[in-house]
Amino acid sequence: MMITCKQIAKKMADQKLHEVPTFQRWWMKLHIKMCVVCGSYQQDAEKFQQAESKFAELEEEYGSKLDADFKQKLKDKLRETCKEDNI
Amino acid sequence: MEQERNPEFWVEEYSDYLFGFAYSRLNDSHKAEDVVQETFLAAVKSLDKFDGRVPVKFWLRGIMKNKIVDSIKRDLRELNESELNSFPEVNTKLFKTTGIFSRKVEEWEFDPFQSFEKEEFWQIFKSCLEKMKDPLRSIYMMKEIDGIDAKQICKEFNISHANLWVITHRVRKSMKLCLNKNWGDTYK
Ligand SMILES: [Zn+2]
Repeated sequence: MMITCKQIAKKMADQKLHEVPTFQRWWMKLHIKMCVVCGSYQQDAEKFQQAESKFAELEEEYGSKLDADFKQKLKDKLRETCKEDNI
Repeated sequence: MEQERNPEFWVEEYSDYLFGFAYSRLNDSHKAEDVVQETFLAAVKSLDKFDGRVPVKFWLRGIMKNKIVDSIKRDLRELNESELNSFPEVNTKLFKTTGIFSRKVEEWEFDPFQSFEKEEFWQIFKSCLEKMKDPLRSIYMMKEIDGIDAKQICKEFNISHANLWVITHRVRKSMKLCLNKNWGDTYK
């Protein structure tokens, strides 16, 4: 069975890898392992995925401050809403 | 625990965090303020659904992610129709003829994994992210950083999976160029 880089790229882009029959999927995995183009693309994507998930964690504290006036108005508004809704 | 259900306590405790989160996705402080307000109001209305299984901070953030999607959608509507298709890199035809096959990988000019350990690297990463073009940037962040389901994003923005893939591909490519330029020499 021949599987081309083209087919793999297409399937990955459409997120249809899960629709591929198991046998064919096995061939695709093998291809990605053996093929320089697909392999380096895959590895590159993994580096980015790691960067992105790390960034998501680190981003915890932004150091941004919400305007103090806005905060006060927001509290007032929430108090109003709670009263209206009997919360 | 009582406090966790008190909206005024939320404002005190989490509004700066939520504002920063929204701001980094919307790049506009007024829009970020609006989103924070919408989030708190929506949270008050669905307070009875909060079961305390996740910390209230993350519960609020979960609500806000959807409000951010709405805000970006509003923007796109204001900017006028089929906004995404006007980006040449996302144009489906172009994608089919060239985009999908030109997967040649740009070199990293530094060691990524070692760099990930450095605090300064993330400041560069953040400032590179800020330079990316909207709405591609915000869609990329929702997909790859906030982990919003691809199906949901495609539906909300009316784009195909293939186009979403191109968005990630393009943003990552520009991110790498920016990182190479601004970090490549600092740390090899
Ligand atoms: Zn290949």
